[in-house]
Amino acid sequence: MPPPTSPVDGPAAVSDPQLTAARESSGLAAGRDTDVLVIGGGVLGAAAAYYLAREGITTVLTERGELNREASGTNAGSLHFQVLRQPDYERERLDRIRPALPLYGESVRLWRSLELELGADLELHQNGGLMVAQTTEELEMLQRKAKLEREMGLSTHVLSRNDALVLCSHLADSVVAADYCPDEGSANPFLVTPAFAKAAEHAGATVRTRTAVSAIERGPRGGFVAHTSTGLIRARRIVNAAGAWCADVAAMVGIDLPVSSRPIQVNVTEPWAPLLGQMLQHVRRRLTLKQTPVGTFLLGGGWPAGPVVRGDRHQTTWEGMNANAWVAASVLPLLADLRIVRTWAGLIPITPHSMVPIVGECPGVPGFYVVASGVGFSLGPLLGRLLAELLSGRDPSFALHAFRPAGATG
Amino acid sequence: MVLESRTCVRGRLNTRRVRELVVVGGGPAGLAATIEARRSGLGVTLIDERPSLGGQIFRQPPAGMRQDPTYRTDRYHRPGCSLISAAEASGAEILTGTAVWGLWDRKVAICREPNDAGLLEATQVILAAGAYDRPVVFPGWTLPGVMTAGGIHTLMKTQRIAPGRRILIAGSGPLLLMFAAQLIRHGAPVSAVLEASPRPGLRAFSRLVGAAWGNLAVLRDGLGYLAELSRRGVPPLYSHVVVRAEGAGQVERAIVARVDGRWRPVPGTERALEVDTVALGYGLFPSVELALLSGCTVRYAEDLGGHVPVRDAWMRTTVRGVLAAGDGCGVGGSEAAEAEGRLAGITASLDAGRITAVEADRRAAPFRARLRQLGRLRAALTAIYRVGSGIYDLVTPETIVCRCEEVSAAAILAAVRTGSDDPNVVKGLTRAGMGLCQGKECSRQVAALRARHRGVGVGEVPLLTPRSPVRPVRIGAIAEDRSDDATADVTG
Repeated sequence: MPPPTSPVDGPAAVSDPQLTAARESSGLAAGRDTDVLVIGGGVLGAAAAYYLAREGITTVLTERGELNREASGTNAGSLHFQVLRQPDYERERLDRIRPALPLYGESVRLWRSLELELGADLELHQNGGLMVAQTTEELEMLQRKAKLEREMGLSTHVLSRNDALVLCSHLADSVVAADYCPDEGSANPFLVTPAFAKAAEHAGATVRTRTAVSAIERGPRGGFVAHTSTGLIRARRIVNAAGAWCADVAAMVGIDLPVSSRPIQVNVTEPWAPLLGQMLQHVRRRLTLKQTPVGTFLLGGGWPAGPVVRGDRHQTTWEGMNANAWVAASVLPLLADLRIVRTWAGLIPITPHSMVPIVGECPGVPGFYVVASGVGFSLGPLLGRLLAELLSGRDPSFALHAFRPAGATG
Repeated sequence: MVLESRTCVRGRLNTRRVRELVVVGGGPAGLAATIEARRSGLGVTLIDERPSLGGQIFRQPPAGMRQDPTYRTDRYHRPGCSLISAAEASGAEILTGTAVWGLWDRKVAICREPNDAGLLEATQVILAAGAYDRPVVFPGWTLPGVMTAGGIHTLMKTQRIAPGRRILIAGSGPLLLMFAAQLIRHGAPVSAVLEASPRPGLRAFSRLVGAAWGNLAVLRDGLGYLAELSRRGVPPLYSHVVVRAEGAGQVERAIVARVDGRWRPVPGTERALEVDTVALGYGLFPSVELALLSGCTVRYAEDLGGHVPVRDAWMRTTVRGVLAAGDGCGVGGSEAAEAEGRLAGITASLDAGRITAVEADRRAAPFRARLRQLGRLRAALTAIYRVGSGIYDLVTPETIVCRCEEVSAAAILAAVRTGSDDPNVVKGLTRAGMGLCQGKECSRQVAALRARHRGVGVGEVPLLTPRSPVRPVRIGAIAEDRSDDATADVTG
């Protein structure tokens, strides 16, 4: 693991102005003519830009606001790999999820090497995840889940209460068992996307923030012209990585994409002595619970946030705080004495099945690719890499046909 | 007459009942608003996070602490006691020791530690949250021994503790004089008093004379404070600021320097003063967190302390049902706060249909007149004590700006230079503002660094996203059993 960037060196700089300037003076009309235009500056877009640039593909990444300000920068940083939840246990839903499951196994491996690859401290911890049950009924759900996961090739197993306590001695008395996945954990969402963007620039990509795409023209013999707030960009191919706004961007080329979004909120406590090494979840209730390297606890789980009041940020709500606090404290009672210091909210994309990403070229609009996921933080790096493999003309390391976007409208 | 601090009796809180008016803050503005609204028969719930009412200026000693009645207290004591008594006798529901930590469309989130939290729904809300000491960031500001005027004032008033043996007082404004004189009267050993602004000249004095009508008592007090300081050998040293505090683990000396009209240190004028305490009294910042959460429009006014809610002549903000009064809307002193509070209480009564417009005008008239008088004085004082932009330029790269998360100016500048105009990005990259103080101590200086980089004024850079909780809240208090609630369940 590389040494963390010290405060004196400064945090990961993004949109390195010197690199962009050098590129622009090299006469390539850089940032205006490109092979691939990636739209969306979250983890999917930044990872795609990095892997594309590494393949030697001329890439421009545009972000209409600031990098990492939406789902990728406002989630709780959980790395989810024990992915089956009710009602996925039903056979027909399982059949839909099955093709996606190998992606999670590969993501585990990719995350483990990511800090070295990007040369950045991502505050990555993969010390395991415990999904707990507190009643007999929940225990049955857990056992069924673990059995299915094993059948699907995911390495989880149900721990008895005593065994779970060995890993986490502070579990509530009411916890009867836990499904343990050794590879789960977390990373710091504030660091991951900027690290990918910086690495993308160093690999030759151009990153343009505050550049909004308002329209996309299709060229008569292929290719695209994107109308942006900072001028036109001509691209042979486009990657739509616009997260919660994927559908809006897809509509610019007449595609009807089944990606919507919903606001979620996260709560953070004051720092505390290090007591929790695993990520905790609950088999039935919304919960992710982890302790960060600075000692704060992050309480998440997809609790809904409130409407937009001022500017463009969703409100965090009373209900989102007290319900999340209740579930968390019921699993880890020591939390009752800690104070919540901050909350934040963001929009997360919703695909038809949250565990199954959308990746691939849109039929009817050759050259227009989409990458979207409801588990975008966990799968982001791998999806970026697979996209680059696809666009470089190689056979991607995973079969992606199950994830292709549906056809165009009209 | 034995003075005993009062606490208010409270029973189990019924959070289901919709309150006609919730007043947040039990200082002069909140107390006055409560009294006026109760006079109109409006149902009022007055909330303050401290164990007793009074806010900062009328801060009462702790319960059970007895004082010698011959002890000379400050001139705010009696009016403070009388306001508090009137509020307590008004029939308002009074919740002390209760923090307001969130506000959603007139739903007020409260928490009384250790275990009680709830959401009060209100038809109208008056925000009277007061103000807090301006944090001034300079090398060594985090050393033990560097304190704020408010902090030392509290120690002296409520605990009778002098913070050190050689105290340097540095700051600006009329409060500085009062603070210094009071410290001396309490017996604290003051070594020097520094005023950042230049010595008031003839024009300043003539302005003050012009504002004398109705303000003679305050002006007399001011002269009295000056006289006291002279008598004790510590007259204010004008055009001087503290630029650095030094010492091994605590303050051992303060480096002071002369400044120009914009409070920027003049090179070559630094000298060291051997002190063990540095008391900073550079004015106050309005507590606007709840106002920002409400979504009301704010504007920036440095001499009011920063961002303040935009209000009409009746103390209404731009959000329906939310009014605001007192130092929390711009620092103007306790008398102005009380007058504004009275207006807000009258407006709430009017808007609730309890009094007619004619009645409201009649009741408001004397307070409007008082505010006009006070406004003239404030204008005169602002001209003398205008906050200089140099107050934000004392940092060096090594200075810790966010003291909760120990983030240096250098780290913040590196993040600022990434070019993002979004303050949340700087926060995300550096952790500045993520700590327990929730950005109250550092976010202005961070904004100043961003503003300097962009070449604009501090008030022109965007604010961080307003977020609840505005006070840290205990999980055990706010956790609410949702075992019967389907939204607590994960959906597929």
